[in-house]
Amino acid sequence: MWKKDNNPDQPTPVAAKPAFQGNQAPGQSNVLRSSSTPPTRSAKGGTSAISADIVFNGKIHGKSDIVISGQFEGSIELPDNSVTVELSGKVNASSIVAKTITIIGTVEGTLNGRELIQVMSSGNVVGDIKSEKIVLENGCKFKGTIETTPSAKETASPPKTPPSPAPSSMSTGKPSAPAVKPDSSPSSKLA
Amino acid sequence: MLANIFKNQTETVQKESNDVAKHPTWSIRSSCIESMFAFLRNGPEIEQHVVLDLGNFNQAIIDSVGGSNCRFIICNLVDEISKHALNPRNDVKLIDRIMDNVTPVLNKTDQPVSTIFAWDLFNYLERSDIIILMTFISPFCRKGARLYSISWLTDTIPQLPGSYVLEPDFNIRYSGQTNQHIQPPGYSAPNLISMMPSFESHRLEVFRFGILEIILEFSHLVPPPDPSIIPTTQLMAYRT
Repeated sequence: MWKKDNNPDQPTPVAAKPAFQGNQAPGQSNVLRSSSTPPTRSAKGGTSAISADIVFNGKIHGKSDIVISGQFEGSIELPDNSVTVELSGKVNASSIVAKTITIIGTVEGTLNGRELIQVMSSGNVVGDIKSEKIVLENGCKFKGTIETTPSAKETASPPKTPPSPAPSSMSTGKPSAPAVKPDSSPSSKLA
Repeated sequence: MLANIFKNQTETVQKESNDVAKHPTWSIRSSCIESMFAFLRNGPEIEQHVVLDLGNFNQAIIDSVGGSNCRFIICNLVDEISKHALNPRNDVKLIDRIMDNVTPVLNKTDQPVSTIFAWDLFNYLERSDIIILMTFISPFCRKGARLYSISWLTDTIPQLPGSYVLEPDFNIRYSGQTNQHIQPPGYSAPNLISMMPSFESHRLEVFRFGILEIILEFSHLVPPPDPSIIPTTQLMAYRT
């Protein structure tokens, strides 16, 4: 594991590949370490981490998964890899683009998951998220917009079936004659 | 006549539901929710469904649209109303907190809203608040947009909104998580419709325990019922 007071300009003997490539100011803390609890690794690259006692500003791009347990401000572009924001992680990102994004901590910004975005029960997200599949666990906090995008497979499939005819209980929408359905058999509706 | 129908219904269900706390947990299969999900899946062929959820997000709604192209706008007014109820501040009106949440997300929407989930929020808002909120939202709706609301017609309701949990298979469960109750305004269906005249009744169901589910459909823009409640300058200030 890297020490906090390591010289950031020197190469690391631990990380297989550097996850951070430029844009951080000289002398800025960019200490990385191998995660003690790495997420599912992508096919490409290893796993890098911003540990809990680190504050990092800048841009991250490359071919490695990343786990953020500290504070991060900037943008992340790892389209073939995963980004995990741990419980202690606080991220303020103009943009996060990744294959999968998992939020356990706090994130503010725009998230674009190519395959999956999941916000765990302890997660707190303010911003806009866009992904093919989105999972928000019960208990998580979310405020913003969610955009689901059809997968390539679904896009290629035939168009969806035409609208089914309206049930007989529906009205024509006239304001003077709403579809009033009396509670004739309430018990049948109770689970 | 319409008012009489609803009045009779309300009186009937209130006989069974004078104290909702007697029924701490229950669940119902909601055909209104089923109808809303069918609308999202098989509704009008539009480029992108824009779903405005005034309450918390709900995974079941996200799942209901499958992999189709859909945008959800989550305002989480449950949080704002709860904070206001637990820590009321004289210098900040609830409607201002609400509009602070709704305004920015709607102003940056480039597609009209096709679906609105209001859940049980209306029971926690004053009439003027509902008029202001819905007058602001209405211009963002496309023709035929649907609004879903569930509310109580009971003597008391939980102190805070968000007691309903949407479960799989269109079941709505009341969590009964609180012993704190308040007296609701008890808006009837005609009452609600009168506060949002751009919408027309599409479907309505009243369940045991005094639960009213209603689906409204956006027809065309109609001025607010009482212009004095919502000055034009106030509305303009919300629009950017």
